[in-house]
Amino acid sequence: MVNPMDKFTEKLPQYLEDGLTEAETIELEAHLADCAVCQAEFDALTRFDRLLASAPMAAPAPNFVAVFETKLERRLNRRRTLLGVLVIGSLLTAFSAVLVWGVFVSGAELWQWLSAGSLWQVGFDIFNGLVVVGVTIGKIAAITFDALAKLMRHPALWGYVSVGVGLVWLWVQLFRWTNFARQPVAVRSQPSA
Amino acid sequence: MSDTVAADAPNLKLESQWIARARQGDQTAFSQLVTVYQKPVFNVCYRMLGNRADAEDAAQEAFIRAYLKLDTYNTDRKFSSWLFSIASHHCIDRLRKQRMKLVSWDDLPPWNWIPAKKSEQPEAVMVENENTRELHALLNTLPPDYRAAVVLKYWHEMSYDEIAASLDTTVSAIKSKLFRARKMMAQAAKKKEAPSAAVGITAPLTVL
Repeated sequence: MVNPMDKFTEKLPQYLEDGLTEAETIELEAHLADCAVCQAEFDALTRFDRLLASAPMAAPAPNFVAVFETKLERRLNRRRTLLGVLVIGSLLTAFSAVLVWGVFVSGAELWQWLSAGSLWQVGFDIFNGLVVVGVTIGKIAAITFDALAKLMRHPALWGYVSVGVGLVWLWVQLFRWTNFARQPVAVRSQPSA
Repeated sequence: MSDTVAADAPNLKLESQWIARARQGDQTAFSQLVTVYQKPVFNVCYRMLGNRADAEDAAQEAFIRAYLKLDTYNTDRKFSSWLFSIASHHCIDRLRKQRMKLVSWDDLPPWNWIPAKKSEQPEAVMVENENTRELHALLNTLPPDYRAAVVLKYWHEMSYDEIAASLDTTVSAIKSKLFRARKMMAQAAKKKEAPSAAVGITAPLTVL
């Protein structure tokens, strides 16, 4: 069932939003003045606007800003606390992860090493090394002793040795003297006459 | 209505100074902004949520969010419409959550099926007068995003462009929402009048 009035009622919202042409507006306004049904429809559509006129901008409670400041402070504190917990928590997690990793990995390596029986090998190697060092030191001492004994049997060699030592001493003295001479001489300020 | 916004709006130079200081963490500067804009932002929340207690809470939450994401504010935009955008989005979320809460787990056990007595229900209607109550009843018939568009258009006299920017949609979507909102509210208003008419008709029948 098509209501002939629909033609007008459909246009009413557009009319309210100034969306009609001038001709349409004139036609609609003329119809509105006559038709009770369309008038009722128009009233229903503009009821909101009429109610709105009696509802001014609502104001909040007087302590609105103070309450806001408290809430903001609390929120910021909570955020800071959360951030702190997050940072400390992640640091602790990382630290304990490293610790666990270290304990497990090194533990596993130690276990592998021990179970391979290489501890005895290392002990033997160290002992062997000590023996070798001892033997070497003994040989060096023997050679030195032998050389000294040969030197004492040929007195001419004493002369060579003493001349060598004397020359080395002279060189050292010369070197020390030249080094000393290169140092700047402190200038003493003399009181002028 | 609009004159209140104009009267409360600070000069733009002072406002941008406050914003700049607030961006560097100056909370007192931001409090100045809250003082200036508390009324319009509260009004958006009040008209959308329909009661004062929720509206104050929502408005404060909107300001807190604004402070926390102040560095995302584009200074080419009007500060007020940026605030309205945050406030209306927050209210839309709240209304959607409320709608979800209508069927919560608490309602499921049979001992909760018996409705509480009317006098025991919390949030006794605290509306100021008959007109406000009717107005909020009409607004309540609209979906949250329609309500936001209506509030921004009629109380804050924002342009279609501004509303579209605030609600993250297009101008044509806003226009059709406002158009449909008006139709919905007209229908709701008619429905409200219908029961009394029906009583008028049925009453003589029962007598017969």
